Amino acid sequence: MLVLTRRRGEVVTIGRDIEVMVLEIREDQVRLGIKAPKAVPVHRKEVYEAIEAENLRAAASLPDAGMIRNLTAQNLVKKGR
Amino acid sequence: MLVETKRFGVLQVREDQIITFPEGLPGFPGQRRFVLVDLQEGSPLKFLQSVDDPDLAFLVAEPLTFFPEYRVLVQPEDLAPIALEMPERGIVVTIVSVPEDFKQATVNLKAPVVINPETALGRQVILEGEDYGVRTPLFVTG
Repeated sequence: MLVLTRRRGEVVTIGRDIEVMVLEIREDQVRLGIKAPKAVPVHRKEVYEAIEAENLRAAASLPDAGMIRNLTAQNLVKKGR
Repeated sequence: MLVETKRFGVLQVREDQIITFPEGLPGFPGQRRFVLVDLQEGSPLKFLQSVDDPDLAFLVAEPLTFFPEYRVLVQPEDLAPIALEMPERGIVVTIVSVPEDFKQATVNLKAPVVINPETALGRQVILEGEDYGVRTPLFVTG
């Protein structure tokens, strides 16, 4: 891993299109500003991993269509909020 | 075209019904093409079935039926990959996880799937600023 030291207001560039700026430094938190092309998704890693894990869980959990059909939409809506 | 599926048999699907996810879905980056399968007309529950993997499908819910207060607040750039300029024209569904007891089903409100019906492009967006959970109970229990 490349390790760089930066001060507040300083920038790191990644390739030609991506810039990461250190906006604010507090005790154990850093606020970053990220400029990237629209096609480059930027996420907090742990949030993205939680979504991945939940998608995998949802795909693995899917019961048979027959079983789901038995729970009619009407019933579901009545039980729903 | 004909789409083979594990749960619904062979589906007859028009090309314009195929929704392309340019980035795939988190956890399934290689899965780009899906179709929305109606469980039953008018139902708030549908399936998002992969066109290319018969085994892969998600149960999805129209969130507003279950959570009338639910709002998808995203930045314009979140919807740029699906060319959706007017967010209110998008179709929003949320992915449901179904444990053995269906009443314990949970829904991922943190990362709704947004579909642009005009371009047939889809994307699972992450609501960074919102306090929605990835495992919100779908039904009120008790």
